[in-house]
Amino acid sequence: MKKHIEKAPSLLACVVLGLVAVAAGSPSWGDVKKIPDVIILKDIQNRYGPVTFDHKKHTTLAENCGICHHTHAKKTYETCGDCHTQAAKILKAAANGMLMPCSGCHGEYSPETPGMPDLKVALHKKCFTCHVGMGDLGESPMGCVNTCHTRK
Amino acid sequence: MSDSKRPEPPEGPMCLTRRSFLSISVLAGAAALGTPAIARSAQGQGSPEFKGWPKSYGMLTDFTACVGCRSCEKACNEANRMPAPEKPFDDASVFEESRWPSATAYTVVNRYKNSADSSRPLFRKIQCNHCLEPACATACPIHAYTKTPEGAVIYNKDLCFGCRYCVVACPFNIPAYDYSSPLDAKIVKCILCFGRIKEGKIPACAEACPAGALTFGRRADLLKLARKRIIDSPEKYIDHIYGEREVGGTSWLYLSGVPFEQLGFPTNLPEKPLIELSKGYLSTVPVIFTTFPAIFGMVYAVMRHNERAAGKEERSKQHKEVDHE
Ligand code: SF4
Ligand code: SF4
Repeated sequence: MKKHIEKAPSLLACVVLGLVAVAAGSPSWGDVKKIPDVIILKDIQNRYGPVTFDHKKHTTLAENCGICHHTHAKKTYETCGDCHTQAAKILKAAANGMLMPCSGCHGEYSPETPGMPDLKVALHKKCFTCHVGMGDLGESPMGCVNTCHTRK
Repeated sequence: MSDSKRPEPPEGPMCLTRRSFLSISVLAGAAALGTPAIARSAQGQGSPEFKGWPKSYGMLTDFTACVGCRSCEKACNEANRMPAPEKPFDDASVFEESRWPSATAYTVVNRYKNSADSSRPLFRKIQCNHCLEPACATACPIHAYTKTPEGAVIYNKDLCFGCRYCVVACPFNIPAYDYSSPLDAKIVKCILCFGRIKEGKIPACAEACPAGALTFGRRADLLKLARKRIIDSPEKYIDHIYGEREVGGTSWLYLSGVPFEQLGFPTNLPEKPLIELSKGYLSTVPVIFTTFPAIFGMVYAVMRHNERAAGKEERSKQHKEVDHE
């Protein structure tokens, strides 16, 4: 059965993604208990329906976790399970401060630090790396609706 | 002279009322006869070494990131409280024709063929470039335009009397005509959401863009950021930051993966501000440019004077009739 994480309509989505992030090396999904299969994002539910992100599917598609979770691009772990099967406390200590949600850096946009995209841009840019060119995303504004954001 | 020592832009033009302009137009026109219009350049910035207000803001559009979602157009429409367009913002059929900013849309996104990758099109968002030395401001005979220290080129709609000099002067063909009041047409254009900037927010289009194609920040930082992107991914970008030098520099900067002419940009523009170039031109043919505003102003003032005189006569006639009764 799939684990569903329903989250409040806030930027906390990223906390979830961030926690998911501490996984490197080739994703050995089977051992990992603490990573969600499906994440439902409701941040912009005033405009669109909730976005269902199939995290499990993406772990099988991406070469390694660092493809999306760029802070994990430097592989220092053999498998995801090296960290993610441990108790949260130990995990935190092991990650030695590296365990940070995306929003830790990608918070609210400030024009004083134009090199740091906000969370919305950071997430979209990751999706667009592969999804532009799939379907009509990148051809028509309807691509947004047809790919992820259901119309309300 | 260092940039930091530049005088603050005078508040003057913003305080002028249309009426006071009319009353002084003859004087101003006459003055223009003797002085090249350019000497009164936009807020006194017409010197060749002027490189923009220090710490002024700008925008960086990265066309390699734009996905043509039109969120920026929608956000602009909402921020400027414009009526909803005929076709909704998620309608791709608008891409079938080439559109241009207008009185009802200060920014538009057009679709172009992609010479670098035929499998996906390119998109270009068009709006005012907020030139460092705006030709529109220089051309405007009544200083309705102001280049603010924040970077935005704003204008006072109440001062505009519809001469259209700015329309002709703008190298990017941006000021649009608002004919909603046919007898009192006025120019309109993007003002970089100046009100929002003043409130500490960022322009609505940049806030809405999900793709990171629009980055608002200090122009100097944006130039560094743009350069870094080119250095980090030379295969992705052409080695040119459009707006860094064109017509003396613009607050809006652009990065592209294909030559800018393929996106319809004018690429034959001089690097000097148009103000600077027109100085020399004016000294050789001062007659047209310097006498035109004067003549125009005088004709306008005389017409208004006659109108008023006629109005007065009419009123005094009525008075007399009333007295008579
Ligand atoms: S782009 Fe045109 S309207 Fe905008 S500041 Fe430059 S000259 Fe003025
Ligand atoms: S919002 Fe951004 S990605 Fe969408 S059309 Fe405008 S510039 Fe392009």
